[in-house]
Order: sequence, then structure tokens, then C-alpha cells
Amino acid sequence: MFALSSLSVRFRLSAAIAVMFALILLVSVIGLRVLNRTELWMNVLHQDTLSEVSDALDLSRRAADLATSAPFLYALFPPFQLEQEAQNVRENLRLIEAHAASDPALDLPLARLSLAIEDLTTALVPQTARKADLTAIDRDMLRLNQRARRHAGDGSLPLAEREIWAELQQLTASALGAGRAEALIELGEFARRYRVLREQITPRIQPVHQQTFAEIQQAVARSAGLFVLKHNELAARLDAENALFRIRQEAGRISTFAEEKVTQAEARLSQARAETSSNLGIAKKSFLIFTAMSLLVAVTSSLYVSRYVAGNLRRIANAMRTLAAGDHSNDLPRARASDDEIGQLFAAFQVFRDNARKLDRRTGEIRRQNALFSRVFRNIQDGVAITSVDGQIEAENENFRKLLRVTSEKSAPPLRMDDLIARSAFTRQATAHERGGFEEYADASGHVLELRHSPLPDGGAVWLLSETTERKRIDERLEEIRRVETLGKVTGEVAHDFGNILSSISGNMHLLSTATEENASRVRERIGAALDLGVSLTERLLAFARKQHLEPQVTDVAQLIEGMADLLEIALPESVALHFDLPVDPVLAKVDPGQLESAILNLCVNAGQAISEAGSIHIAVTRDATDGACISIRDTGCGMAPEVLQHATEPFFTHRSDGNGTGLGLSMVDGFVHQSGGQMSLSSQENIGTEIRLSFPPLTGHTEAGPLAQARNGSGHALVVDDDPGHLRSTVEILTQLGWAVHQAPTYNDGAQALRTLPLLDLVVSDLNLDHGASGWEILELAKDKRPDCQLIVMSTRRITGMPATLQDVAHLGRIEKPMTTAKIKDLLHPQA
Amino acid sequence: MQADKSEPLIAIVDDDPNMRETLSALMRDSGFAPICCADIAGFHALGDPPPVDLALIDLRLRGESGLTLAIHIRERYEIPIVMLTGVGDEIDKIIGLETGADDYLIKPFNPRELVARIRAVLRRYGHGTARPSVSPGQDIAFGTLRIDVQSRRLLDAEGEEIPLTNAEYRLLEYFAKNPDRVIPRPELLEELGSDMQRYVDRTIDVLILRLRRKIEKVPSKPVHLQTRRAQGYIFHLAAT
Repeated sequence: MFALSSLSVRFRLSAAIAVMFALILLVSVIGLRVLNRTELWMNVLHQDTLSEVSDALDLSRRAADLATSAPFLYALFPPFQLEQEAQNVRENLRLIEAHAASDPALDLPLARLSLAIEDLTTALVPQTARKADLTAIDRDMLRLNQRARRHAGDGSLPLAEREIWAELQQLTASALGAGRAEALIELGEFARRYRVLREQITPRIQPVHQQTFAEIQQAVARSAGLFVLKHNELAARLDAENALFRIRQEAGRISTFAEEKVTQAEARLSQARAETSSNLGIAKKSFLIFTAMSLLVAVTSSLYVSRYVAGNLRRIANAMRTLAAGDHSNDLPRARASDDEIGQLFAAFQVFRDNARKLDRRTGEIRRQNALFSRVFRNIQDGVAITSVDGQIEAENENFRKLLRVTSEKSAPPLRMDDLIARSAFTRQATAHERGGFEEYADASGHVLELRHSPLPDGGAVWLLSETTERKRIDERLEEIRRVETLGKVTGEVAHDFGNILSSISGNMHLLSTATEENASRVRERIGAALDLGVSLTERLLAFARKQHLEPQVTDVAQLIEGMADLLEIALPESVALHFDLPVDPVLAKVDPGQLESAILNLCVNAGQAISEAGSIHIAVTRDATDGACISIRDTGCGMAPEVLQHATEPFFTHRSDGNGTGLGLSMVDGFVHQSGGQMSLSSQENIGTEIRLSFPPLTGHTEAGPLAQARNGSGHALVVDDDPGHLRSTVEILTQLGWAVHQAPTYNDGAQALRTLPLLDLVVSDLNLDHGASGWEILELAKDKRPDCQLIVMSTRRITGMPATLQDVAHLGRIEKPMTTAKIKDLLHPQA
Repeated sequence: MQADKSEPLIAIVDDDPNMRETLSALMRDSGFAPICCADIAGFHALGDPPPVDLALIDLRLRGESGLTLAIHIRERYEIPIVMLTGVGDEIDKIIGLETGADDYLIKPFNPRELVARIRAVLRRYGHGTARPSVSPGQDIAFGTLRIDVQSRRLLDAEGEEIPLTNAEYRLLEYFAKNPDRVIPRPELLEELGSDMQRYVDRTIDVLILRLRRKIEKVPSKPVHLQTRRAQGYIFHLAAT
């Protein structure tokens, strides 16, 4: 069943049809064969049995003929007739023999018959001659008898003579009786009487009698003698009768044989009939059985098709219908019943249903999520808006406009975010760059809004607008409190330190007025030292305030550290091992080298102090992702607790218990790094160590010049043409930072206009794809025309390939792939001639 | 305040009377003729063009900015300007194109450094001034530089002073007087005085770093001020 279940429906139906066909074929073959055999049988019966029967009948008739003709033969005396008849009988016999030639059972009877016929003819042929002799003798005797009776009755003659005549008469009567005897015994009786009588007479014979006696003697002895003849005749008659009897017997036998043959043929016939009918019966049964089997197969097949295939298809169709109607419950068996098409269909349906369920579940989830999102979207206190790729606001919640204090107009066309904000009373107070992720907007009445912008992968964006007026106010207040606190602390510390210095100076001044010349110089030295201290303290305060004087130069940071390595080693305890990881290639940064050295020294000494016994300090210089310089100082010291780390860069914060140090070290370094445009980051784990990373921005140009030259570099008048406000703004910002006076043109027409009217122009930067299909090349061509000395730069978001022939001869045509960066434009800007 | 013709006339513009007094005295001591002005108006009152050889201007005047004056001078006259400021980050503005100051000093400044700067500026503008006489026997020379022990100054090959702070000078002098000897750190600390320790937990090293920047041609490859590992510092007079 399992094996069956794995067969396909197609295979099963094909197999059923094949079986049916085979059965029908079998039935036909059987029928054909049975008919053929029957026909053959009939033919054989007709040919063999019928001829045999006719032969047998013929034989029987001839045998009967023979039997009837043989006695007739006995009755015929004329020898020629006999001969003729015997010939006929023999002919008859030959015919029978010819008939029976094939049958050995007839040989003996036929031989006997032939012998009997031979015997009959042999016995009958001399009978005629004997009959004639016997008739002649009888006639003689009769005459002699009458002579003797007449002499015996003739009284005239002597008695003795008469007596002898009487005796002669008796003698002839005996001879006559013998001649007429019908049986051999009778003949014998007559023969004995004759001989007795002849003996009695012979002696008394008288001469008168002599002649008659001789005549009697003579008549009796005629031919072979009366008695012999008579005996032969009787014997021949017995032989003939015997032969006849035998003929009759054999003929009877032949008849019997023929009858037997007929009987046999009948038996064969009936057997053949029985056989044929049994064959036919078997064929009939076979027909019935195979037909029944075919019927069974056909019925099974049709049942299979109607019930299994069609039924299952209907079930699946119904299940599909219910599924389509949204009802996922169905009664189809989950487990796969078989491997055939139906089973596969079931399995496929189950997969389909599972998918539909999954889809349904997911749809439900999405619906729930959507509901959740829309609830959040509607009820969130912040304003939420979503913009499309082209900057149009696609969706916004009510709060968005409410927070912006803009009345909402339902029918208004979609706006851009900038337009919407422009319609409100709010103006931007801080950019996302300044605030670290959000823009700040404020209106005249002091409301502050935070606008967060999260780009979506498809190019659109989500905007989150939140009211931060209150928080801002609290923040500001807290900030102020903190500032005042810090200020107070710093002021107090500074006052204390300066108090010390001033006390020292005033004390020494006092001494100076009364000091001898010898002492005066020592007093002055002390005053000088106090002044040095004051100067040092001032420097540190300025450093913390990020207001110290720096002389930034392009410095190879690695080389700088390498150069001070010997000093560091001496400045640190011997138990502290110093490891340097410095690249061979220069790592350039624009910093004040002296101050950087001081900072590194400070940090290393700090690190050394964090190491109580033995330990190591690793100093590494690397380039960060933006190609800026990065210095890492990592120690294996005691580290800092998080709360200590938090305050580490505050001024006058010292964690050292011995009160050593001003507490200005880290704050100074921090101030210096920030004033140099860099960042300082600390990470520390207690009992593991501290790592301080100083990172400086990458060099923005190739200039080695000092601040004076930098200020003069790159200044001039620039025109920026870009239809994308964002790109326009960023490009303008970059150029302004580089010291350019920038005129911005948001459209092609504005750009062209500016090219014609601006009095001074040293640089033209244009986007390649401008508004209304205008090309940046046109702006640049116009610029080349109007301002031949101008430097030209084209920028695009895509790779810029090709260039109009008219611009081929421009010496310094720069190409920039957006986004625009300071470095990119710096690379292209060449010093003005 | 009689101005000698041979002495360059220095206009001191400062709103603090004490400062004016001190600077005035310092100028006079250094062989200059000082004229004091309390504010911008005072400077303008000197005449047009003002009869001065150099203007020493404090950046912060009462109610006004020294920058305004500096710009004014730069626009009209050929007078060199040296500015004094308390805040380091404004230097760029001071010597920027607009202002065009010739030099600057951050308060508190070293008087000797101020004088040296003023002399240098004047020399650039063609006012050769007599330097204080130098007694050659007192000099300690190393490389192309020499230390004038008498006037406690460091001079370069052209005789220009390289400004040093007191502590820097004291350190350099000690090194120069003990050449080619490994000087251990504690010895240096003792020499410079323990009273500096409060702020000077690392001052020796800072001082040495600064000195190197001032005396070594290539600070990262010092030839004079070197170290001996685990021993201390050593000063070579001759560049090897």
C-alpha cells in the first residue's frame, strides 16, 4: 500500500488501462484459439469419423452380402454357375479385405472367411459328377429290382428259383436304399445289408439268376462304387455345410467388428463433442472471469478517478475557495498521504495555505504595527513629518504645525520643510552640526523647537520636531549655575594662587626696602621666581580658557614625539617602561609644536604618576579615518573611577591626595587640543589603566605657511551656482571658511546675472545640472567669456565625464564630485597669480 | 621728558597709569625716549603725523580697543607697532592684515624680552640702535649662539637677542656653566629652587623642551641639550 501510495496517478491510470487492454487481448486470444480448435475438431470429426462410419457400414453390408450369397452358392449345382458364384463371393471378400486393409483386427476373420469359401467350393465342385453316377446306379437298380420282383411273383417258375428271385429283389432294394440314404448311418446299414444278402445268395445262385446277379454286381460297382460315391456325396455335403457355417460365423464377426467401429466412432464423436463443449465451457468461464476482471479494473479505475482524483481535486478546490474567502481552517490532512500528484497537490496546497496564513499573520502584524505607528504618529507630543526624495512633505501629524504655530490648510499643496519653517515665526538658531544632530529654532516669544532629521534609505527623511522651550530654559539655567560654580571655583583657586604669589612679592618687597645690597639680590631673585610662577599660572589659565597664544605649524607629530622621547624617559621613574609606536611616514598636523610637546609631557608624567610601582606607557601615533593625526597615550596605571573620569578635564580638579599639581594639567591639555581644532578623549578602567587620545584634524591645504600667510591665502571673490539649496549652502560655508567672499546663485539666471554684474570675481563654482535643464557648462562658458582670469570649478553628484570643446583650453578647470569638502576644493584652488 | 635725537621715540599707549609708569621707566632704562598716552585721543594729540618712531599699544584700553588705533596708524603712517595683550588667541587678529602690528607680547611679559622685541622691530624699520656694550670675556658661546652672562641674554649669530624667561635663562646658564657633564635631574631641581615645585612638578621638563625649541636648530634632534638615559641631562657647547 505504501509502495502503491508512492505511485503517481498517471502511472496508476495508465497501469489500469494497460491491464484492461491486456485482459481484453487475452480474452480475444482465448476466444480465437477456442474457435479455431473447435473448427478443427469439427473438420477432423467430419472427415475421419464419418468416413470410418461409412466404411464400417459398408463393411458390414458386404459381410452380410457374403453371408447371404454363400448358402446360395450351396444350392447351385451347375458347376459353371457355382464357379461364377464363387467368383462373386471371392470378389466380395476382396472388397472387404480392401476395406479392412488398415485394420489388423479384421485379418483373422477375413483369412478364415477366405478359407471357408475355398472349402465350400472345393466341397461342392465334384458333387455334380457323383450325383450323375448315383442317379445311373439307382436307375439300374430300380430296373433290376422290378425284374427280380416279377420273376419272384411268376408262379410258373420253380419255388427255389422263385425264392432266389425274391432274395435278389431284396438285394437290389438294399442297393436302392443305400443309393437313396440321406445319412451316413443309414448308408452304412444299407451297405451291410447288401453285403449280407450278397453273401447268402452267391452260393445258391442258379444259372437263370446268373445274369441278373452279374448285372446287379456290375451296377453296384459302377464308377467308384455306389457306397463310396454315396459316402463322398454325404461327406461333401457335410463339408459344405461346415464351410457355410464358418462363412456365416466370420461374416457375423465382421459385422460385429463394423458395428464396433461405428460404436467407436460414435464414442469418439461424443467424446469430441464433450471435449469441445468442455473447451467452450472453459473459454466461456475464462471470458467471464476476464471480462469480470476488466470490468473490475474499469470500475476500480473509474472509482479511483471519480473518488480519489476528482474527489481530492474537489476537496482542494473547496479548500482553495475557503482559503480565498479568508478562512484558513480546512479539513485537508496535514500530513502528506502519498507521494503521487494528489499528495504533491496536497503538499503544495499546504505550503500555499501556510504562506497565506503567514501572509495573513504578517498582514495582521503590519496592520497592528500600522495602527500602533499611526497611534504614535497621531498622539506623540512631538511633531513628526516625512519628506519624500524631492523634499516634499508627504505626511505630518497635527502637532507638527501646532508646534510651529502655523495654521494648517488642508487643501494646500505639499510643501518643502524649509518652506514650512519659513512660513512659521521660527528662525534657525543652531545648525545640526553645532548641536550634534538637531537643529534649533526659536521665535520671538522665546519658544524653542528642536528639529531632528533622520535620512531614510530611499532618500526621503523623517523629521521630528519637539518643543524644548522649557527644557532649554532649564538647561540654560543649569548651565548658568554650573558656569557660575566653575567660575567661582576657578576664581577662588586663582585668587588663592595669586594671593600666594602676591604675598611672596609683597613680603620680599618689604624686605627689599631694608635689605643690604648683598641680601637685595637674593630678595630680587625670589620676587623674580614669584613672578615666573604668576606668569606660569597665567599661561595655564589661558590654556584652559583656550585663549593661549598658539603658533600652529605643520608638524610631524611622530617626529616630534620621537624627538622628546629621551626627555620623557628621564622625566619618568625608571620603573615605568616607555613604548613608542610611531609610523615611519610623517603624520602631519597643524599644531603649536611647543605646546604639543608640553601637552604630551604633561600626559606622560600624569600617566607615570598613575603607575604606583612598575608599569608601562604606550605612546602611539596613527592616522585616523579622516587622515587626521591621532596620538594615543595608554598607561597600565591605577586608572580612574567613572566619577573621577567625568571631572578629569575640569580645571583645578585634582585627584591626587598629596595635593601635588595645580589640577590644571588635563584641563590645559584639553584646552590646547580644542584650541588647535582637535579632540581629546579619555577612557579609563580602574586598576587596568587609562588611555588618552588626542586627535587633530587633517591638514586642509598644502600650505606650510604660518597664520599670516594662511590668512592671505585663498581670499577673493567667488560665485557659487547650485540649484540644490543644501549643496549651495555647504559649498558657500566651505568657501567662506577658507576666506572667500562668496556670492551665491540658486538658479542659472542668477548665476549668469552675477557673472555680468559682479565687480570682482576670482572663482566660479557651478553645479553641472542646474534648474530647468540648464547645464553648469553654460555658466562656465559664460564665465570664461566674461571673466577670462577666473578659476572655474564644476561639481556634480556623478562622475563628470566629457567637456564642451569651448572649455578644453581652460587651464585650471576643476572637477569635484559631490559632496563638496574643504579638502577637495583646497586641492583645486591654486594661489592667485 | 626730553627726547634725545639719537634715542628712538616710543609712544606708550596704555590706560593703566602704573603700567605707563613702569614701561616708561623701562624704555628710558633701555635707551629709548618714551611718550605716554592714556588713550587713543592722547595719541592723536601728539600730532599728525605723530613724531614717534614706534607705538607700543595695549590691546585693551578703557572703553576702546588698541586694534582701532593700530589700524588707524597702519592706514596712515609708517610707524611700527608693537602690541601688548593679555589674551593669546587674539594675536592672529593683531598681526593680521587689517591691523598689521609688527610684533606683540603677552602680559605678563618679560621686560627684557619686550626691549629685545622693540629693538628688533626698530631695526627692521631702519632705526639702528646702539646695543648695550657686551664684554666678550663674559660670554659663553655654543654653536652659533652665545650667552651674555652679564646682561643675562641669549644672542644669536647676528647679535639678536633670543628672548628667554628667567627660568629658561637660569637653566641654560647652569647647563652652559657645566658643559659635557651628565647632570642628574635632582641636581637641576635643586639648582632651580624648590619653591617652584607648586607649579613646577614638570617644569624642568617643560623648560628643557622650550629651551630646545629656542637653542636647537632641529629641536627633535638636539645637538647641545641632550639626555643620557637613566642618568640625566648633558650639555655640549660644541656642535658635534
